[in-house]
Amino acid sequence: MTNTYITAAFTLGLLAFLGLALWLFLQRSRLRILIKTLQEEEGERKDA
Amino acid sequence: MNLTKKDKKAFFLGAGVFAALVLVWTSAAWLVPAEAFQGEVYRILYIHVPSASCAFLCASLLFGFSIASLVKKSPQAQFGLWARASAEIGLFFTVLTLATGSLWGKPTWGTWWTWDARLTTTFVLALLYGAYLLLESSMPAGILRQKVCAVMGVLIFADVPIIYKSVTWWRTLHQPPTLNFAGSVPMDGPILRTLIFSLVLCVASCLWFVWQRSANLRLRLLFEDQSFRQWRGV
Repeated sequence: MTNTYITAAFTLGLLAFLGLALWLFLQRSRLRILIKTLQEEEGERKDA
Repeated sequence: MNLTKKDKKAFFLGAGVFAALVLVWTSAAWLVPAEAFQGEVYRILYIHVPSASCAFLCASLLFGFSIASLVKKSPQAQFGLWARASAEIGLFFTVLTLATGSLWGKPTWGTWWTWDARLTTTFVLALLYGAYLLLESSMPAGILRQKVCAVMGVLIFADVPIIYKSVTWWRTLHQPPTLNFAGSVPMDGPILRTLIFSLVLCVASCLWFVWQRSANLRLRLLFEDQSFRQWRGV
């Protein structure tokens, strides 16, 4: 029974760390894409 | 995926810290000997104590950035972003502390939760972090938000010594601090060494999370600024 609590705690810790890191990574990628798209649109608008 | 070289380097660094943490936690879960009084369940301490330390570290960072943003009164100040990132990561670690503490409390005390001084003051810390984030997102950017959030940041830090001393100021179910400043640590060598490794790696992860989150917040601000200028046709 004790092992269940230990497993739950370590799984929670690992998943929480991994989840947060992954979220930060995906958020960074999304922001970079958004900024790039915005800059491209601005460039096209200026060219036109 | 659209990441710069700097982003990739930062994420490889984070992956390295995470891999080391997985190794330490694996050794904590299986290799380190059981504790004489608590048996196996004490192993949760390898996550619980470092998480609590990181929650306190975030409160200290928030305090430092709050004071800095009070001194430097610029609405676009970097300190505001760092303070927000510290509060977010602080909330993450406080919730992790409460959850792992609960998982330790059930087999040890026979209950998931009790309104003990240490538990209650830690719960208050989570509420304060949440209140800070609500306040920061509900106010328009400017000097007033900077001042109000800085005061809130200082208040959050004031809870840290109360949490730390709660087990000595009041009669509580929670045991006295595991790591104290008196110099006497009632722990065996392998247990203490593994705890210190876990603590160091969790602190490194915590600082990495704050760094990456503040970088994302800065990028979001840049995106919002650019899209607003584009919308206005500037």
